[in-house]
Amino acid sequence: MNTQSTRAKGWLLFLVAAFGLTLGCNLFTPASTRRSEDAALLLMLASHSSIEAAAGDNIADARTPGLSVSFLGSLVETGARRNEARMLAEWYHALAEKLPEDDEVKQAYVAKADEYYEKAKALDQEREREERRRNRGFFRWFSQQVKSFGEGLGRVVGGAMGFAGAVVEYVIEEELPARIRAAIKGEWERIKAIAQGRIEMFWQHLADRYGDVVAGYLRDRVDPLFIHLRDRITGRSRRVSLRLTQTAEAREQATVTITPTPKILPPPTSSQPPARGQIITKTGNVVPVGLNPGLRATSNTISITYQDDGRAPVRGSGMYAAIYKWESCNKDLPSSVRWDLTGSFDPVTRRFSGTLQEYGQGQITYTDCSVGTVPENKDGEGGTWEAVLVDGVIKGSITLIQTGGIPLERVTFEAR
Amino acid sequence: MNKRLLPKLLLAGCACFIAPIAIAILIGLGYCLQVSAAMPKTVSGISAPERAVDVWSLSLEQQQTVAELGYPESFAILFYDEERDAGSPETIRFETWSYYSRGIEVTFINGEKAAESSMDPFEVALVEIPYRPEQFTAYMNLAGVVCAAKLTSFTMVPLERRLLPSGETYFADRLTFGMKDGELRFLETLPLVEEE
Repeated sequence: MNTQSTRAKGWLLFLVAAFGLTLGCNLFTPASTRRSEDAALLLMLASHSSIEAAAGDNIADARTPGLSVSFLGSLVETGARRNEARMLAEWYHALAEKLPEDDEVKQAYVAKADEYYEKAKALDQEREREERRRNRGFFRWFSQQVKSFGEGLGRVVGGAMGFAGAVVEYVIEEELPARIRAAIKGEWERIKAIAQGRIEMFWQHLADRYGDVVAGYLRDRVDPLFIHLRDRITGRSRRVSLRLTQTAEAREQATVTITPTPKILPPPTSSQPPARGQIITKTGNVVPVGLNPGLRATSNTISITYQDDGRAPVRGSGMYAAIYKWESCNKDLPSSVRWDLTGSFDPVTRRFSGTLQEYGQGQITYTDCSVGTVPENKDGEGGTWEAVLVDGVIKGSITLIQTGGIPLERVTFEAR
Repeated sequence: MNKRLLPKLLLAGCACFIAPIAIAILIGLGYCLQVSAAMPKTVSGISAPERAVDVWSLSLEQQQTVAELGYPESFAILFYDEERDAGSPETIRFETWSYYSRGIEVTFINGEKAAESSMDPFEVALVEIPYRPEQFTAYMNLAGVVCAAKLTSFTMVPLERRLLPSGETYFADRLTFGMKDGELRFLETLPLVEEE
């Protein structure tokens, strides 16, 4: 009786394991008709999210000294995957935020962001349910049974996956980070005896530099994809409207004449590949806003250099020099302020943004009306700048952040 | 009368007794199937058959990049469809080639160079990856990827239905990839570094 029961249990688990693998491998699932970029992006995010969790788990295990608490915190806090749907929603949201109100793609990105925020909520709920289920006794027992039995099934289940002779092991959640690390480093772990040092994932170096690989590095990496996507959407919109116009015109012609003359239409607008790395410098003048303009300006320049594909940092400099009247002593003395700008350019939105340092120098009068010179302060004062490229002209403003964090718009500028 | 009723009563009794048990077993089996399908799995000991697999032909610009910079220290590829005129789909191969020690990243869309960016070079001793971009083509199946990459083992993690139905991520020797509906949609090499 006992033997029969064990045998029956064995067969039952075999069926479960074999069918489970089949379902898990999607051998019979039909391919969807539309292979979206979002699916590819989600798979990328999910892969990196799992690696991040595995790396964090590794650090937590090792109690590695010398790493910053914030960095460790970002990895170790959860030990679980991120919500990839929310990450994608944030990417689309950020893209939509950057676009001007009248951009025809903006609404499409807003809709995508909303769609993925909704998905993210549903995913959170599903993961909570899964977590609760994993904590139940039956699930734990069952997972262990499947895992143990899977090892027993060995090559049979491997064959069911399409790899004759392969061995399949089920992995319980707690083991997953170590399994992922082992899978990635597997071959080298086995031969590390010949290596001089320790073998680690390069991914960790990306994390050290970017802090958040998913939000920083990966987002930058797929930026050209979003540019291409925008081109596609705008191109398609034009084509669709063109087709509709064509259809309407054809109908109108059909009502007038039985043999309509074919009408020559302009070719559809095709999406242009993004320009590649052309460095452009634009120069212009500033208009003092939060800056005393003085009696007369002696120098008024601004220069901004950027790469039109946005792949290089933006550099700029500006200067406003003027003669100021010192009323108490009735003296006209020179003074100047200059700015060093750094920042970035987004070719999608055609917007610039960045930070700056402001340096001032000039001559002043003392109480006895003698004249003194104030040298340029070495550290300068910090601020921000932003601009937009319109019809080849960069229009923007420079804001100085005063003590206490109070922003003061210093100048507006145009460079062409 | 009693003799004719007795078998029916026995049958009804059995049905009442067996049916709930059978239903319970079926429900239990369904639950077990669902659970086991969602569990990650490690497959090892694969002896992938030597068979011809499709390869991607490097474009002229990609060949020039290889000539100038060599094969990338790491690369990532995304495969997806874009809708073209008349609604027909066009497969897009979005590739990023990373040269971390030189601080260069090059993006290709269907082999055409779309962007080149610079970063501060990483001063690390990278272990060479055993893969090249042309080994992988759009929408390969799992056996195709295993064969192309000559994998002997991998760990597969099914994704949640709410995130991506029929989506799976895979982790193998210096490689991660993602499949949906059994088709390769994302692949990235994961270089290793030898640390002191």
